[in-house]
Amino acid sequence: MSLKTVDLDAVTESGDRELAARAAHDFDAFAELYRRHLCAIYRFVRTQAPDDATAEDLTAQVFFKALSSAATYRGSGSYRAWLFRIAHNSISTWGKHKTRSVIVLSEVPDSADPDPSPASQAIATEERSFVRQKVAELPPAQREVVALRYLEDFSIEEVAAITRRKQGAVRILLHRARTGLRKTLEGKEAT
Amino acid sequence: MTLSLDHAIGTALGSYSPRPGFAAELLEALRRGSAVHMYGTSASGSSRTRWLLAGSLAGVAGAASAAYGVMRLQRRGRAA
Repeated sequence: MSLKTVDLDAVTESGDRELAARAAHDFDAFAELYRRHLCAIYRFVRTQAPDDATAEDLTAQVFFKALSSAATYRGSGSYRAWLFRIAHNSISTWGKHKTRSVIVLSEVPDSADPDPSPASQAIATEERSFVRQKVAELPPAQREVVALRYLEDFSIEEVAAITRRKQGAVRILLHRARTGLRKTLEGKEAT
Repeated sequence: MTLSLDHAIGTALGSYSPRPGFAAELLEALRRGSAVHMYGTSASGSSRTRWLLAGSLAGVAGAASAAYGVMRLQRRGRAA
């Protein structure tokens, strides 16, 4: 029996398309899409929002918009990218009206660490908090492309489409963010 | 920082996750928002019907979204 390599992303994407085609008139189909993408959308929104409550409100907005616009999804790109485009719009609109911009980093449970040593876990947790803090301090446009590229693993082309920027502009934003973060993180390592 | 920069960023940001109960709470609000829309109209495929359907759902979902926001504000007020 030969083993075939299955591209899981492609399988998920085609499954998404099928569900999205039904989502406008079948809530169960929409609910399945919601289950598939909720965590990623929340995670992305949380990197741009000042606190958990705002992230929840923005996430709710994204899915209400996705539900109300379900019939307008044409399947020309991935459903996931379409959803992130809605998230980008929601965050942009919120950003224009918000009164404060300080991102508060609440303690979030960290995923399981393969090394159970308490000291190692403490260092890993501290590192994650430090990186999160430094990403949170980036200008909003840099923070957004960093999250889409390194957290959600979108290609430069997809990030450009989601944020309606030219690919060159995305590359520049990423380069600036990486340069700044690298300097900060190397500075911390040296201390 | 022992990990590569890209990996460090991905790992750090990846540890955000919604609070327990949020997923079910929002799904229920979405279900309520869609309830009026799912009135058994068969999707005929004509663009006019699709836009009418989308328009009616947009109104319902907008109202449900607003109601969900009010509910959340009330809960935050009680918690404060």
